[in-house]
Amino acid sequence: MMNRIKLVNTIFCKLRFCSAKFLLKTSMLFPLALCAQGVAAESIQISGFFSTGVTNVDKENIVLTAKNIERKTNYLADTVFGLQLDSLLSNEARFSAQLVAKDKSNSFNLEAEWLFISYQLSQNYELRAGRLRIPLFLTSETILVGQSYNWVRPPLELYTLDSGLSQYNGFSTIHSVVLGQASIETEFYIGQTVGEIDLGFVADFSSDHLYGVQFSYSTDNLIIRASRSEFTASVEGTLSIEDIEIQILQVTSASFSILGASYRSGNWGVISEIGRMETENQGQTTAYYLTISHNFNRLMPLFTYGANKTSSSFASHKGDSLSLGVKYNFNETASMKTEVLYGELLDGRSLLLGTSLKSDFDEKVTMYSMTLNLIF
Amino acid sequence: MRKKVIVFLILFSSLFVTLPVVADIAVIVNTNNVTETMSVPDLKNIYNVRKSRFVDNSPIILSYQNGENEISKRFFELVVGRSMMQLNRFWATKIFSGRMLRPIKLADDQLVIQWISENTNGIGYIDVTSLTDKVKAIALISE
Repeated sequence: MMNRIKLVNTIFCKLRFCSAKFLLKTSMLFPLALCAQGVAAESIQISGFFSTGVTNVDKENIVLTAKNIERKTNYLADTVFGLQLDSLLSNEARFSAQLVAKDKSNSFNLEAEWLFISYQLSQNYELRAGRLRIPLFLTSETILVGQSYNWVRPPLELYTLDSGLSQYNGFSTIHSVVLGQASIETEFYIGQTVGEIDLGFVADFSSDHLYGVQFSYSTDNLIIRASRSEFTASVEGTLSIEDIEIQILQVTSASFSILGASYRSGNWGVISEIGRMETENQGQTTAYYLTISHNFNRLMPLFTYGANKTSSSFASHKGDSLSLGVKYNFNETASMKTEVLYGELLDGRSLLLGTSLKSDFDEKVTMYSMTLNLIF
Repeated sequence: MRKKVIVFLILFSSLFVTLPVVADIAVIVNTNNVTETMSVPDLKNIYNVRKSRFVDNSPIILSYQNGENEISKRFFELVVGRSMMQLNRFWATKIFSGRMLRPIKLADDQLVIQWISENTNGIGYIDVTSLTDKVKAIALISE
């Protein structure tokens, strides 16, 4: 029973999406074909991003969910390289692909984070189809682009809530309207996702019914986003323990509700999000964080407090963390970030420190991180 | 003597007259673009990625000049309301979330004019004194 509980708790960890070679070929050939049809060369753009760093944790046997930080010193957890290709097919249609290589069990496989065609139905309506990112959190769409935010990594209490469920294959509609100096955007999406998850053994993960909505309001200084996502997923695999093989098959439904806001006034910035994940028969997890930052020309110190709490019929866990970070912008496209994080666990385990089968860790942990980030 | 007094008064009074030391900014598009005029709030919405389409629903591709250029500093101050550093970070969130096409960075007015004249979806800003008939001015901005 305990194994099953742990399995269910880790269902939403580390999704591995398939068909990288196919997607790579498709994404490379598609724009070339369009060139042949007369689309101007300048309508094809290539952008990219790269981050690398080192993390040191003062405890052994710790697994940070979704980041693979399971060694005392880790050079790979925050290393990611991405290439983005955007191509205007016509005044209304656009193709976009983002191909990313990041550490997965010490291997860097290039995979498509997204791959879609969009069609602008009118000034206000856009339709997208293909592989898309789930617009759950404030920084969901750019979570791999370290240069686009100020933390070394977005607060893990909240950003591990989805446990890597970041993409889907399907459709979305985006309605946007400008009111004075503010914009309001509403996005509906529906699709499915298939892949593998690493639970200590490889298990197949699939969700045929995934749908959601996000609403955002943004001005020069303020961004508010509310989102809701629901899906039904199945996990299937074989767990081997001392020559005993256990077939695992679990079907469950889950929902995410997230509310976040970011506000900037002069050199001060505040960003906060709160989210809840509810799983059928498995209880719920609530997580939130608050970050305050101040900009001193190229230097930006920031302070973050994050916490989470899981309640289920089997057990409850909670934990929190404090972190102090500094971001230094070398120029418009490159930065260095450092961070010291102090995390404390209450009542056992915490999403911050993972829900892996490796659970024999201390109740307190200090983590030091440094990353270099650039975009091009 | 009277003539000398008048000349002196003119020269003296000129010390208190504020003369424009920097030229106006012209916002330009391709001559085939259907847009005829554009307000400063519209330009602010465009450079802050709240609007990404011209009136005929064609996509807007932004251009900008080096942040050290005087024309860029004035444009960002008068129109955009963000520094180059802030704007680039903001644009990065939009580009890498698939919400905008990457803006084109150009070195000077002549290159902006050349690029705009070759791109019907482009928009850019130049010193008004650089304006030629190769492009169409849709807004003139002055302090």
